[in-house]
Amino acid sequence: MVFSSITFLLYFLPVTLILYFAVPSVKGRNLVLLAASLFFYAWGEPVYVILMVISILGNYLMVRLMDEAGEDLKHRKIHLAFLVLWNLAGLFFFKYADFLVDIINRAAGSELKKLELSLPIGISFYTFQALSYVIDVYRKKTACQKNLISFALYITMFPQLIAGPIVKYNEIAERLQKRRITRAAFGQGVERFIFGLSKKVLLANTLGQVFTLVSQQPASERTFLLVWLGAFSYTFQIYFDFSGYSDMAIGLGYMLGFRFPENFRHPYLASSVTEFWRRWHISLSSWFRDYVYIPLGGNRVSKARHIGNLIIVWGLTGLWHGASLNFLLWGFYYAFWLIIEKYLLEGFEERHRIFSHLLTALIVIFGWMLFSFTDFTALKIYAGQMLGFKTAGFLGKEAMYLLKSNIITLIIACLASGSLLYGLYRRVREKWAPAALVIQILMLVISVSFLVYQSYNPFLYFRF
Amino acid sequence: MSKDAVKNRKRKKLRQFHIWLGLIAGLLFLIMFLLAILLPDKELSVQEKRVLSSFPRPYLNRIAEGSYSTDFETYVSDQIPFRNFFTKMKVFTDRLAGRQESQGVYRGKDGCLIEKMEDWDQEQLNTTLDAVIRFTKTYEKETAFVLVPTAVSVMQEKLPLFAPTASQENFSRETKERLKNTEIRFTDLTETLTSLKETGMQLYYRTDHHWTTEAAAGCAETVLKALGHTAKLKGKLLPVTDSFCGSLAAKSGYASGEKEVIDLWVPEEETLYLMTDSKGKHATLYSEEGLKSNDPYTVFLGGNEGLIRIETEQFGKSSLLVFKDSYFNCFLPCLLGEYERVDVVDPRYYDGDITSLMLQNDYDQILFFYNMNTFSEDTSLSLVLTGTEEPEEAP
Repeated sequence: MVFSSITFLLYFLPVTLILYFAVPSVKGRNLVLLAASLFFYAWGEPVYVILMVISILGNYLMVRLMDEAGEDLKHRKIHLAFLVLWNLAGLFFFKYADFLVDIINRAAGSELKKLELSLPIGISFYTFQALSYVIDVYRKKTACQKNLISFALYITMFPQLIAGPIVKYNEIAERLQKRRITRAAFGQGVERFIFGLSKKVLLANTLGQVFTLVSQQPASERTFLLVWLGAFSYTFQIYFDFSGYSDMAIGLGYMLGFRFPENFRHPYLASSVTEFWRRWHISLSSWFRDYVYIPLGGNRVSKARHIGNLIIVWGLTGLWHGASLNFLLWGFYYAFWLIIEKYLLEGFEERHRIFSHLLTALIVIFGWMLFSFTDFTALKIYAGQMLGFKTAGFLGKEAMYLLKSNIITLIIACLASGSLLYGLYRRVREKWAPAALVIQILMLVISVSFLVYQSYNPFLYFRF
Repeated sequence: MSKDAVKNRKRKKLRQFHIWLGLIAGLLFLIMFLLAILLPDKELSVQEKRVLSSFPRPYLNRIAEGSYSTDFETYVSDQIPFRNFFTKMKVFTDRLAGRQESQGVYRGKDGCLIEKMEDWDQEQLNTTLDAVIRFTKTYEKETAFVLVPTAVSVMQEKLPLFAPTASQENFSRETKERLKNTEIRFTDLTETLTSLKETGMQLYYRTDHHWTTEAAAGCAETVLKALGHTAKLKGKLLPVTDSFCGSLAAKSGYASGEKEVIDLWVPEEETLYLMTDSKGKHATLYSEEGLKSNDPYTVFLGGNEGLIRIETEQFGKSSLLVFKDSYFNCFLPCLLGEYERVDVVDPRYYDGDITSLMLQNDYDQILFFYNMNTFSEDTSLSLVLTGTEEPEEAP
């Protein structure tokens, strides 16, 4: 199930909340939430839910065994190695096996059969959560969870199950046992959720349609304005889609008494690539930092090793986003810019703020094009057109019409990716609270109307 | 007041705000949920003119495939309380955001609705036209081919700024080119309509994709000439309703509440005639039932039928076979003065065998009559003309 659906908003959320608040004890609530989360997952993945349950049971049992090994370091290490391999094997089998087969086939000219399995929803997210738990228990950074329900809830909790943020176990452990929900915190959650829903439905979906339209246009008819309009739309779409989803997760967390880590901090305000990655999908970068980059030695190694570490981490980050060559290249692309920034442009950013900001924006926008095109020929043509090669003119009627039809959405997207609009909202909330209430409810109603409209489908028997 | 006291007050106010927000939103969700489960499901949507989906049976195989969740989402979206309010809200928001298009319909200047013309499939067009050419060669009848432009080209100054649309001028040229060197007389009504427009006549409905009866009557002499008649047309318009809200309003969801007049064209010298369709024989071309239905445009010929036959009492005049779309429906009366019999085939609904129709009736003339939008998307005409059905075996 996804948050931006009528099923979720009209049925799942109210029923879950009613049951949740009808039960007084934390244990009971955990049970309700676990049942709801399993239902939530099974709604979209009725078969693979079994896979998730196996992953939960396996991790729970084996981590307890590892914990019982106590001070026996050798035993702990064996357990750890097995657990890490086991978790990664699941992820690899379902997500990367076909990718590997494809590479082997291309390199060796063989004809190995692909598995053609569909990807279990959220597997990249819950595998990473399980791994963080496994490693933290191994490092004794956190105590082993003895209660199966609590552990299962940590993995499955529906707000962050399918699109993050990736919550580390120790960030949530305490609240699995004890939490208090105030009415104000509930309201805060609602506020955050409505912001997230609006970002996803009103901005991301709308601009997503613009990019789809542009990329479906025959390449020979695309003008300079059109390709840039498409690139900007995609850049905003991916941010509002993802951060909107994180906002909804964090908001739902508040409503249920949990605090999830922030995932985005206005990434498009960044004036360097390094800064961009401190603001973009924070829970993923921090996962890679804690469990890959630092164990590899981080930056406290020789220059060559450090560069090697960056390339490994960013290659993996790229691949995490999808099993395809363009994601790998997208990761290396960022490794390249990060290395340039670190070793060649030190101090440049402070001296040339505006220029750095523009440069970062360009790097990010071109990065998204690399991210969105799995077909390299198509990418080459599109990126070439963005640089002015082989376009069908500069403006074009089609592009002007698309621009005109979406200029207001684009301006709002622009403002909403900075902090200006939220600052304005906070001022209104402070000075004239009822207006802020009206704004919130209106955003909710309009978002729902956009969702309902997807099914608006007049049958015109008199159409002809 | 100290700084801390101010801060405290602010914090308290913020808490109050969040408590209210939680309360109001919580209540809204609760009310919507209760209404959704308590209100009985609706079968029909008057606004969308379709059957709404009903509760999907939870078949195990649908659930296992994961397609049950899609069925369920369709069902709950169709049955959500205040559905019409929500769809209007979306269209309204779109307008505020500067979008002037919905479901392929432009909201033009001064609020008139204009259907977009999509790029046509040239191969399909060639197939259709070749079928037309072959058909006329086979039966060797005098044939006219009439294309009517729609509002998207005749009223193009009313389109939103920069609105893209395929060119009907090019479409007409392509068609004419293909029919060149044949006996078929090709007529494009663009010129006639453009000159009528200069007289200030309303050519198209503002809420519907059809042309007005007045525009159709205005083009009658041009069409009659293409069929070899020189008669002057005399008649007048008779309004039958002033509360018509057409297909484009329904399709787009742009509900301005605008109501329009539908006219009939009544010739000065009335002739008696008999119309035969699938429902029986009628002494009129018009359907009162259609007028009162939720699609008043079906007043003309009672809507679209596969085959209708009109017999007049002008014995000795010629007979005509027409292949048409709904642009012909309001136009038909203008032709009747010149014929003893007119058979009208709408290929989209026709399931008979055209060969036997041709053999049983010795028509004098054949007319193809389409608006450019429908014709550019049509796939049924070539099927009917080539007769894909196996000929029935003799008993």
